[in-house]
Amino acid sequence: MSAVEEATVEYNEIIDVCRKFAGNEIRDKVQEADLESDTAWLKSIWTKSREIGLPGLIIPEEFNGVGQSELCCALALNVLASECAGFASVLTYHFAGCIALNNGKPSQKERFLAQLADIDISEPAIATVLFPSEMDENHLHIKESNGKLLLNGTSPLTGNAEHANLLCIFLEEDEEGEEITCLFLDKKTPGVSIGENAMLPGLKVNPFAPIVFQDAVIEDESIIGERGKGGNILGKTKNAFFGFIAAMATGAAGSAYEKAHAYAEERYQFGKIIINHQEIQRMLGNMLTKLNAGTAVFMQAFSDKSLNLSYLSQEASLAKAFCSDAALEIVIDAVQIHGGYGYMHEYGVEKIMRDCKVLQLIGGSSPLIHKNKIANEQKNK
Amino acid sequence: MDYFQLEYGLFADAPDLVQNVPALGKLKEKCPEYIKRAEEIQKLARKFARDEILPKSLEIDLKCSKDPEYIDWELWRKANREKLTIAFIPEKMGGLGCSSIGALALLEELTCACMGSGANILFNNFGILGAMVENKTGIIMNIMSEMVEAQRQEKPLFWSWAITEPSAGTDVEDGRAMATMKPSAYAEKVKGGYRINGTKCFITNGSIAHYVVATICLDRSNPLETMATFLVPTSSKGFSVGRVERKCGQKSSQTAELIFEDVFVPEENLWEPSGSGLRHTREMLSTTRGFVGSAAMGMARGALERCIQYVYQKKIGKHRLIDEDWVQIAIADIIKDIKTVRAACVNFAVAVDTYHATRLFESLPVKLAFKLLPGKLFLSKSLLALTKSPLVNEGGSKMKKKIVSNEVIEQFVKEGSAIKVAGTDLAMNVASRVLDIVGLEGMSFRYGMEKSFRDAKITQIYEGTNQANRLDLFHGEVGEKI
Repeated sequence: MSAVEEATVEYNEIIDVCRKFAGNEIRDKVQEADLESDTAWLKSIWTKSREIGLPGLIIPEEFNGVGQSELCCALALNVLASECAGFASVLTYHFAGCIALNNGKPSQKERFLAQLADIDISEPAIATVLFPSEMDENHLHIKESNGKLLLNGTSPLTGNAEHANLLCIFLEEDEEGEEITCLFLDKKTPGVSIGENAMLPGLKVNPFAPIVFQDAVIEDESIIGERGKGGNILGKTKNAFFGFIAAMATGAAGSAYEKAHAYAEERYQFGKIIINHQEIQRMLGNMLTKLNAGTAVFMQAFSDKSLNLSYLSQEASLAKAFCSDAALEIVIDAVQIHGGYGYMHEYGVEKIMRDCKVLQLIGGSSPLIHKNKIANEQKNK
Repeated sequence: MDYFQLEYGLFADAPDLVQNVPALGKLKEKCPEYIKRAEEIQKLARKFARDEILPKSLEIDLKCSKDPEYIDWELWRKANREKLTIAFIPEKMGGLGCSSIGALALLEELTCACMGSGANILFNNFGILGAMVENKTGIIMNIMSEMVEAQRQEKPLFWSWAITEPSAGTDVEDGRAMATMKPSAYAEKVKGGYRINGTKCFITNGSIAHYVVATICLDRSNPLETMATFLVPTSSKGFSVGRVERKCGQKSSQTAELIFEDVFVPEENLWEPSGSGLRHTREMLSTTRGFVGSAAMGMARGALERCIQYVYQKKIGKHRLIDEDWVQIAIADIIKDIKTVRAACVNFAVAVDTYHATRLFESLPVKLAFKLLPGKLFLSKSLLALTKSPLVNEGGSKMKKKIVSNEVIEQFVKEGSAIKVAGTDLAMNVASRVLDIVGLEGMSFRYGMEKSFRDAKITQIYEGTNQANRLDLFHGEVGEKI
């Protein structure tokens, strides 16, 4: 048993259920869904996933969830992303919303969390999370008018923009980014609208768009924790969120690696089955190294210490940067090993390449993340 | 995104050929006409790329996503009117008279705007290249006149190379590989010609071609010794187009499966006899590889230019993304890489003009002919009939073989392989780096940079995978000596 398998033996059953679900329900139609950017298909898979308790995986049992840990979610996402990173990404944003919500008062959890785990309602409830970004041109901010709190501004591009009905919003209420407010809003709230679909090249079944707020009313019950004091919640949410992306990228890349390996064992060219050519061997060995390293890095991101680091530390983003960079390199090589076939949609590898490139940019590209880690460290000294 | 904010690249005044590669200044001094003509072509190409291709590149990519067989005929017609589709044909005969350095400039400007559309417009010029590889003067002249006539009448006339087979990609481009190849297509000698059966796949333009130049062996158990090259009109009985592929990128360039079912090819359409097929392919690759690398360099430039436009107008707080140090260094790094590869591409192009096939146009008889004879005569039926005569055919063939010897071919395969790997690796990693600079929002479809990323990958695979190209490079440079 590998070190990773040893650390996760208690989750084996859940991972197995996810793997079977992905193979049975996702694999058949995933290429077609990617081609059509089929959000209806995604919704149908989400509905089916309620039968194995997926949407409620991180929601406490008292609210009809499974009550599992962040690590368990990451392992599930890792396995699901190996069939479809798009579907896994919907779950990631959803889990992040659940984690934030878990910090609310009992009445808030009752109001917002329970519906997310509900397997009986006809229209599944999906959450998403909006993080502030330095690339924002129109920062989300709260305006006070006639004794009411009104949310205004445009969020950065976010996943689940189309699918979510519950929005978890983090705002920076000051210039230094130290006063964080966490809110929950129903997407149907007047004044909330979805911006233009970015039409990203990957994660096609999960359209990313900005969410626009125009004088959307914020009730007291919508604020999680206290105004300006949500830094703790942001930390927990973002740490897990970045870890989830790292886990997904690694899972998707692992599937690309396996496809490339299998293809290399079948394809004959230049006098041999190509896996017997040294350069192909070198490439596959290099890919496997990155896969193993990525796995170790994302696992480490789910230690108690890592999950509870302050949102100012940005350690989690480093894990995401490493794993997503490694994943992209793996899948680019996987396409290469497939030769011309790797570029054709039918073979499924170029999809993984597009998915991984998107994953690599969520929450900031790697150079930006690297720079910010040290820049912010200096700023906070 | 408003492109007109920054006068850079496609939006700068052309020509800037010599500005981009200052060493060409000396060449301009010594051979002014040679560089001036290339500058004229660069100017024409940049205008077309910026005003006609760029505004439509996204729309075309989207339409081709829904229907891989969609073609923007209006764009093609516009390119055709500018003679871009017959750029390599001598001016006197009705073309643009592009030397290789002119072709490089043309390629770079068009692929900067859009690789797929650039390919649709320029790939045909390879028909002329294929003809020039073909030894017989009569065939070359007739093909050129047919293409000029089609251009004048605004009639599409497309060429295609059927080299790749389902079981053989790399194997059809290399001698050692071909010796062990398992063919999917074969030809049999019959009365008056040959009968072809089998499948070719991933053929650019295959679905719209009027002529297919196919490398097919006569004995499946002995492909290397029996590989031949055939000219197959797509109107031939038994020829059909199978699937048109759905690809990751370069969607506007059609990639198709070609099916041959007892296709009869008359003797006169046997371009290379049994055993010479590989040589024909190698001779083509000796120029096309370098040009594919150059086209990829153009793509990298396109990604960079879009990136600069984006970061110039993207605001973060009170400044712009372009004001950030890390962005400036990342961009500089890309500029450095493009500059160095471009210099290598220019070197390759000028080398082709100096040592390879285009030297034919510098030879005395050809130069005199172009100087003295009126243009009309070149396309007249009488001259074309004359060129088919054994004397002219053999004479032309001898002259060409003297210039394009086996040594020249192998040297240029080696040089071209290096350029191809450098240019295509550049396209791929520049597109990826550009996306890292602009982030998730910059990756939105409307900015065109994610399209550059999708378009780039295949360049590392076709025209010989970069791994196979490296083997050619090693063998060409060192292999023989060990």
